[in-house]
Amino acid sequence: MFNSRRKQFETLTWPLSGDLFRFAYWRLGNRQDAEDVVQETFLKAYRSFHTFERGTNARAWMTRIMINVIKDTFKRRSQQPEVLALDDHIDEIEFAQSSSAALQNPETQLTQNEVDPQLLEALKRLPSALLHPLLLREFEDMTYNDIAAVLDVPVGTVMSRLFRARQLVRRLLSGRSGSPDDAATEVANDDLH
Amino acid sequence: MICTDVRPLLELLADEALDTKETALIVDHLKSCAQCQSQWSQLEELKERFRRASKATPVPEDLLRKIGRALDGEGTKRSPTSPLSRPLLAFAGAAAALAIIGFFTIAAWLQPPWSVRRSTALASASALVDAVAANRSEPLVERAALPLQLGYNLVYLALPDWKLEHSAVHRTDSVTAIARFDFVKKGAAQSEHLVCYQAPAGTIHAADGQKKLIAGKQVLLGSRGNLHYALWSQQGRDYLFVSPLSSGSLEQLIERV
Repeated sequence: MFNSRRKQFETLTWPLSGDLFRFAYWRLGNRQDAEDVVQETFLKAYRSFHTFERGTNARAWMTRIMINVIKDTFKRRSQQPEVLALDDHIDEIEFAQSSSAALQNPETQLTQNEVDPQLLEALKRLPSALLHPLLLREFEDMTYNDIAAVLDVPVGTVMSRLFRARQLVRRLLSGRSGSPDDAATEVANDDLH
Repeated sequence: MICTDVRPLLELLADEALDTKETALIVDHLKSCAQCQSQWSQLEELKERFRRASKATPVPEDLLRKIGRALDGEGTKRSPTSPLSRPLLAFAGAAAALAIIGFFTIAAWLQPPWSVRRSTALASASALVDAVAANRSEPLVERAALPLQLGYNLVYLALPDWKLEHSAVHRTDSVTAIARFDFVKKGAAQSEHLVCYQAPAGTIHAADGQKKLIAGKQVLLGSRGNLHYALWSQQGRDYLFVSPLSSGSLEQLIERV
């Protein structure tokens, strides 16, 4: 029974590992944190595999789990400022420089990616409501419908967020950006839909 | 089609979300409109940049192997089953019961009653406990340098009442390097110490012990000599705590991490 369950899980989810890693890598900005998050995502998915409805979209299911893992990680770390590590006398500067520092602070999460630093810099200024649909489209090649299912928003919202995200990234890449709060304001307006 | 019709559709064209007819109409327009063509080129340029970035993203070659090893740690844990499969399981369970009873009657003579990991796991908890009992210490390693030596990232737990004395890497032949942290209780006698091992989930194996659910964690509790230990997995990591503290104290500690 275990082998069969494990085999079904692997058949369904392992082909998605590369795309999930790409999403995590560009969301978090470094390889180590991306790897940890992907591994945690597979563990969580395996534990709740019994809840997955056969025939439904496994990619959307796994991506939803991963986005929650990322959110939980940010939340957990931000709620535990005084108990950051095993040794509570740890120097905060050392902690900020540690290899897992990217996950401690969303503001500094996208700092270690070397693939395209300018693109990375632009992406890190997007609010997650714009960033997620963009990453799902560009790095997971998801359709609008799939993105809508993952993010639980209407397809029209996906389209408008993608439009705004690209517009903003183009502006940031060309150095024409205003305040970093622009994007947050834009998505706040969008959320009124 | 005129520009005001075309512009909002360029994104959809780039995302291949238009049908053939609409695509043809827009392509026709682009041939004759420099402004829309310029918009389209900028969009294409950005898409191409994402394509290059996606292609250059360094997906680790051993990603699936690591995931597989993490899942191995889950393999022997009780897993929930779907309602549909329950009747089948009940039947299969009944059919297998007789065979299992016979098997365990013999097997119980030969091996410990319960195992939290498959026998193919990489590192033995007993050996790690023995290393503590024998007061064998590994060369000290700066905490910041640990991930480099280990080859994986550390996921820290909160132990506010404990002070870290030193950190090290535990190595044995053909075994994943395991992080070791030695703590002493703040304001207590030196004898109140705690050793915490950490490794990727599925690395540490315990052949015997008592399984207990503590704060949602499946923990294996056991003892060797005067040392007690607790082994469990969370956040993709195995944690093994070893200490002369009582099992109850270890449980309280685990509840809070």
